[in-house]
Amino acid sequence: MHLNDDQMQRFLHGELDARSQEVLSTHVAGCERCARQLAEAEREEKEIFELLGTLDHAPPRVEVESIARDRSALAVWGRRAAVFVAAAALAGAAYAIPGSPLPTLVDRVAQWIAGEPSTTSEETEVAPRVTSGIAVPGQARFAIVFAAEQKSGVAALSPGDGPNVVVRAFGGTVTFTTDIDRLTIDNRESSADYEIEIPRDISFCEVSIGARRIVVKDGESFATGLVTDERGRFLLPLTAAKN
Amino acid sequence: MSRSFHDAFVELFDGHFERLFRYLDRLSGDPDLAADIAQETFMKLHQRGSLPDAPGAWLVSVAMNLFRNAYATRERRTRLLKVVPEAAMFADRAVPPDRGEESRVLEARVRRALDGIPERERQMLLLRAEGYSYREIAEALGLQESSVGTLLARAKRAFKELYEDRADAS
Ligand SMILES: [Zn+2]
Repeated sequence: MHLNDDQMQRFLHGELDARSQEVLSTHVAGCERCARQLAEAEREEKEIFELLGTLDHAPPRVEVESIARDRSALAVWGRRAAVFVAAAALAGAAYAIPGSPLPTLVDRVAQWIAGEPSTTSEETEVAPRVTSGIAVPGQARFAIVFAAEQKSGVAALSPGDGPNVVVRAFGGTVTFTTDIDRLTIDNRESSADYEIEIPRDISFCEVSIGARRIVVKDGESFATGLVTDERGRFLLPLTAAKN
Repeated sequence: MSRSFHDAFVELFDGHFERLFRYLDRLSGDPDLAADIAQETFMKLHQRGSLPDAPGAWLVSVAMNLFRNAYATRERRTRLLKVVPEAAMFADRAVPPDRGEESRVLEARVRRALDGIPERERQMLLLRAEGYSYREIAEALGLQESSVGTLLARAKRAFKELYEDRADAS
């Protein structure tokens, strides 16, 4: 008896019990047809698995400790919510969530997306110039990454009491992508200004702008060396540094 | 055995996170969704506080549940993005810009072949590609272990036929 499909696969994958392994090995050793089919099946599988590899994307950078530490699922939907928030902000009035201050907006959009449309209609102060924004749970070490330097524009940093890193963009549209420990802002072609709140609880936070990296929070020290505006916010220019 | 749950968890994460992500990414074609679900699955394991008997199968079946739930959400998200003109800026996020035309065509062809085979066979094929054992595959997908070999052979045959069909057609 030649090997059937099941035996062929199990042979290939080392999934035979000891007895069958012995019997079938003996058969294959003396049967040219089965030996050939086995070699063919192996080659074919290798080819298929290589083809499947063309679908791959780089895995996310995830620190196991950040999962072990964070028992809420909040950090997880951050990444999805990022896209929703930017989209909802763009859709504006069409979704009847106009200019709600973040992170309330995030909560509502997340609820709404999750199938529980928020019925609350308490209106809080509207920030008319916010064109997009996001709030993501801050990890102990967090990075805010601007993809590029801008022709103009400034980020106003302030420490926040909430758990979220909150970014609001004014006068320009940008795309946010979040990871568990970083927020990437695709600001290419943008000349927006930003307001960024960094939770006091975060022990370390850096902002990078293109190739430039600035540590904005390290323990108790915050935005060392940056000038402040009349509201006490620390101003970080997003334009190329002049030497 | 004085090994703490935390150590076991870290070890399991190291051994399983990327393969789980890859499985979900290939299955969905949506790396963001795959990343979310892989992380959420490990969070659920951490919340559980103890290791299941068959961790590999447990992780896959929990991930599959999350995946099914996420799908309804995802459809809604697609609709949301459609009415937003600027949504175009999200559309190509899955494909890094440095991939050439040729590899995009190949990728699309593989995707169509994979999506063309029955769901259960697709899942088995992808799990086997990540080295899951027949027992894990059977447990994760709720099948008899004795049917795995035959179904795998069928899955590969179906994939190859669809793939080559496309190759000839172009
Ligand atoms: Zn034979």
